[in-house]
Amino acid sequence: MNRLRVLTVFIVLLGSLCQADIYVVTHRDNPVEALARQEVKDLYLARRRAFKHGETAIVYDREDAALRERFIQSLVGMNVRQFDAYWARLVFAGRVLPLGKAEQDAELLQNLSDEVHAIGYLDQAPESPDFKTLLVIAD
Amino acid sequence: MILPLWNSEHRDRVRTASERTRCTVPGCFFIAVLLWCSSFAIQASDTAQVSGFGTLGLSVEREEDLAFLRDSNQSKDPEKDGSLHPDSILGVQFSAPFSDQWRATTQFVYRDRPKQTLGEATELAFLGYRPIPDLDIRVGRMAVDMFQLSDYRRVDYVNLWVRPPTEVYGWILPSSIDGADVAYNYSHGDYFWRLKMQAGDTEPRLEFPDGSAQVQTEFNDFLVATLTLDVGFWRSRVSYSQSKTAASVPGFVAGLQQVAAFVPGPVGAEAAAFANRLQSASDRQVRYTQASLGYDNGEWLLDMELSRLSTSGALVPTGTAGYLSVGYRSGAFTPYVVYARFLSDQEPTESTADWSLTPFEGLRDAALGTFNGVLIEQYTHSLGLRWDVAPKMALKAQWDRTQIEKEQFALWAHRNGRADRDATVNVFSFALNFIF
Repeated sequence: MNRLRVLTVFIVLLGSLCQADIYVVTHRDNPVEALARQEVKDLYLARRRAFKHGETAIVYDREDAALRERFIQSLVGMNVRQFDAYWARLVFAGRVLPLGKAEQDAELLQNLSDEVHAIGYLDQAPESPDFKTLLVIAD
Repeated sequence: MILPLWNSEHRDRVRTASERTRCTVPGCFFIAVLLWCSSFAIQASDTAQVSGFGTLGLSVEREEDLAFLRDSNQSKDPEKDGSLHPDSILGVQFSAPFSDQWRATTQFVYRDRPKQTLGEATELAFLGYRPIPDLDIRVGRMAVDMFQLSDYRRVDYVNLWVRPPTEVYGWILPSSIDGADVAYNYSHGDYFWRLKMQAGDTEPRLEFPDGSAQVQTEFNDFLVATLTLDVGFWRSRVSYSQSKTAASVPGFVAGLQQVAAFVPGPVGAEAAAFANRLQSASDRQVRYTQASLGYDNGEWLLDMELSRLSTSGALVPTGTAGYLSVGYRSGAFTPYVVYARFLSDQEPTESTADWSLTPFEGLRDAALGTFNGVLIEQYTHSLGLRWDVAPKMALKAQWDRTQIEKEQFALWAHRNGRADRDATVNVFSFALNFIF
């Protein structure tokens, strides 16, 4: 009985872990205050290259395989292999430059500090007031 | 698209050295300028990126005097029965943002080709300018965007199969053009439109079907217009392109004209007809229209493409070409089937006069080789399996069974009259694809 309870707690925890939200973030000085899901999707598919007011967006992807998989699946509806192939088509056709990639959260935030018009994603809301969340994607 | 120089006895059709120099010197200069500009831009940027793609591929068939080709502009050796040459490839791309608006890209590709030079290995070398975020202007060397997969036809990882169906992609001789293009993107909700115009020239090189000699061809005044629409799981595209063949006449036409002038009867008449047709084939327009549709819902993959090829007299393959492909993704494995066909609208030319009493049979054979060497009439059933074995890496195995009509063997390396009769060829291919 006890063992079953532990297992249940574990499953619930695991479930909540899997359903953690993903935060699309930018620097606080970026004039953009919020983005619609479709806008973020368009930016990550290179269908749009700029924010609404015309500034070119710099888009960061992540190295973290689990986070990346969740983000791509829930935002774009592709698995990672499809997404990689999609981007390889664009890059080797010479249509766009490859997406920038950040390994750690700290590295991403550093890049966002350096480039006000950059966006990236995290699995938790940024703690520092230097950054703001543009969209929360519920998994 | 294949220029027509199929008889090894008549290498005089290959342009003379002086003609070749006339065309290549500006070409070399152009490439040098391109490389200089783009490498300067890449060096000036502190965020240059290197990416690449490759395939290690083996293709095997067991036919005598016949060998498989992926592309008509590869080296040709009819003796080969199993080879790494057709599919193996390595591409490295350097790209750099210069500013928000300017960027530079160069791509070098090592693959089997008639001649390895830096110029030919440079498949992309352009400067890109984006005056507004949705408008792209590129100047330099780009892929000729004639068909659905043209922009990435050598990046096998991104395609489902071992290679794009040869009935549509095997005969497309020009892969890169030197010129400019403009693309406009428009995204609205789930709809993504892209309109692209391209213009330029290209001088691809190819080999005789038995690999005995090479020739440099020309496609001038290339114009390509493309409209694509992506909606949800669907991708669609229509395009039109036109170009002009070289304004030159093969050397042996003079020989045929002599025969026409001095040999009476049917032989003289046939020589005159052949000479006329060869002369009127120079500087002619070649046109392609294309439509394609793709679907990928993560599970099912559907791809189809149809193209129509026509000309106002050039010696190129004409007719209708297309394919239909269905695949099903199940975890890391994707089995697929493909049906591809090239339906020629030309009949092979035959000689009706008796040339055997004259010493000019070689001229007749050269003419016939030139007319029929461009013809394609074949279809292929393919069965394959893709295994996404690791991130950015895939293994593929494919069986192609092709039925080729006699005298219409332009997609194959062949010799010793192998094209005189029909063929059923089985090609087995194995490939490892990767991107980085």
